[in-house]
Amino acid sequence: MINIVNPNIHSLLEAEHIEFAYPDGTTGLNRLSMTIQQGRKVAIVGANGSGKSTLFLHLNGTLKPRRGAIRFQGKELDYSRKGLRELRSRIGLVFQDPDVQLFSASVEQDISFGPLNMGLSPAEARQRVDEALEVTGIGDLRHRPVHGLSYGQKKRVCIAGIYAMKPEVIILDEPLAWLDPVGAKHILALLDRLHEAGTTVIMSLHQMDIVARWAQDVIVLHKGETVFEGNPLSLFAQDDLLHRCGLETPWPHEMYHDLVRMGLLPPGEAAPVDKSGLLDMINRKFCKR
Amino acid sequence: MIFTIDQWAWSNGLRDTSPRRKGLAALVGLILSLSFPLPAVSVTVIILTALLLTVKARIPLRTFLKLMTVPAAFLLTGTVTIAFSLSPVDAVWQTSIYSYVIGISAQGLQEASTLLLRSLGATASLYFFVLTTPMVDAIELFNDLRTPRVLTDLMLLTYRFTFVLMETTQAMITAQEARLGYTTTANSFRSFGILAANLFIRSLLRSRDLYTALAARGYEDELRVLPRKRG
Repeated sequence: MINIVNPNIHSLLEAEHIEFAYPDGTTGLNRLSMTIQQGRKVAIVGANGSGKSTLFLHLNGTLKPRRGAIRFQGKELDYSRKGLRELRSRIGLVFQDPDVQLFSASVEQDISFGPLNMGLSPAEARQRVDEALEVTGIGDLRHRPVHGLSYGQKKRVCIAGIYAMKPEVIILDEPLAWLDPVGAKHILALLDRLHEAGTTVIMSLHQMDIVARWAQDVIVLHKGETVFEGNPLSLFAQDDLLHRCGLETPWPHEMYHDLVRMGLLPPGEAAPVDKSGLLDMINRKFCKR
Repeated sequence: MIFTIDQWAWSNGLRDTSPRRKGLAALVGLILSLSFPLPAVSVTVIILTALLLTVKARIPLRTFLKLMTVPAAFLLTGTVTIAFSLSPVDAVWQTSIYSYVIGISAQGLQEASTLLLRSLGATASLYFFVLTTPMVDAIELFNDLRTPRVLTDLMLLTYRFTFVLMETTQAMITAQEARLGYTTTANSFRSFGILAANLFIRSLLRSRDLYTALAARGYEDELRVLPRKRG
């Protein structure tokens, strides 16, 4: 493993050498270790089948590792009924397919499910529902049947259902998959708002441009193992690793290397990861006056 | 037909009226039509229902009439036999087949029409409830009436996943058609078999995923949700 995170920073959620195999024999996780710090925006990347979803199901106690340990705020997960109830009220998981998560045909009812399970009174739960509808910008969908919603709208209802539980950590399994650019932008803005309110946000995704722009920390999974933990800048400096894991670099990063090869930009500088970084470099080189 | 009813249930003018009141209205109509064998009562119930549906719920009369034709066709075939009898005393019309005389008696005709109207009145009353009440509200009402939670929870899930199943089926049929799955009779049989088997497996997998997702939000024994707030 490369680039081990500074152990002095307070870790919120950590996995240590966890192993898991599915009943059909496929390896889910292979001595995977990773650390997530409080209040960060974390991107989990890796090819399909690299173990992202399996890891998420471990983090909320749905799956139990065969070996190894998972710790939340320094304490090992408690898999008793009571322990899981507490864990899941503090770590929210948004599933990739909204049709799996939304069980009620009424938007409002579905969102009220989590808060009521946490033991909140109906009045408190109603307040949470109102707030979740407002924050996710779907107040107008309150009384619409779920089967009449678009994919993007369903996705937001799923996030609202978790938001209403006010978890300290919110994990989203590919929240941007299948969304159009505007839909993706809405979700990212929403996640930023959650992050500003102090929530630790963890999501898996494939778009490296967005990883570069959005994430503070990146964890790369490959065949059930962690192969990188660190910030996006240092990840994109490791071409071999990215290539090995079937990942791409953000386009400004590639563009920079192309421009260097063509002799238009000087080599030796740190490659930019986003558009504005690349524009800065071009500006400095060509518009000196 | 199911989708017509469902769409109106979610978008009619009486949607936000308490399901208790709508349920009571339907029950009164049902009891009236069933307990008074008078065409006048049944006709009144049907007309009142039509009025409530068109004026209050703002559902087009045409929609209501169209929906009524389906049970009406069933009822008509069922009741028409009552009108006929062997050797009728007060025949309105009769014919002889060999040595038998078959005809419609005045009494039989009256009985048949009364029965038809009573059934139509009862059907209209039930239509009033299902056309104005979204399923989730109806389930809320059943909960208020102390229906066992297991049943209402199942209703909630069945209702929601009916639509998921329909969507999945439709998508799979479209995909099969795109690969010429239904071009010949032999192909159609094979494709249909594959479709059925796949839907079954998918439903099983989906129910497992559903449980995981519910558990992630703290599900333990019952589906606790808020009742709808009515202003």
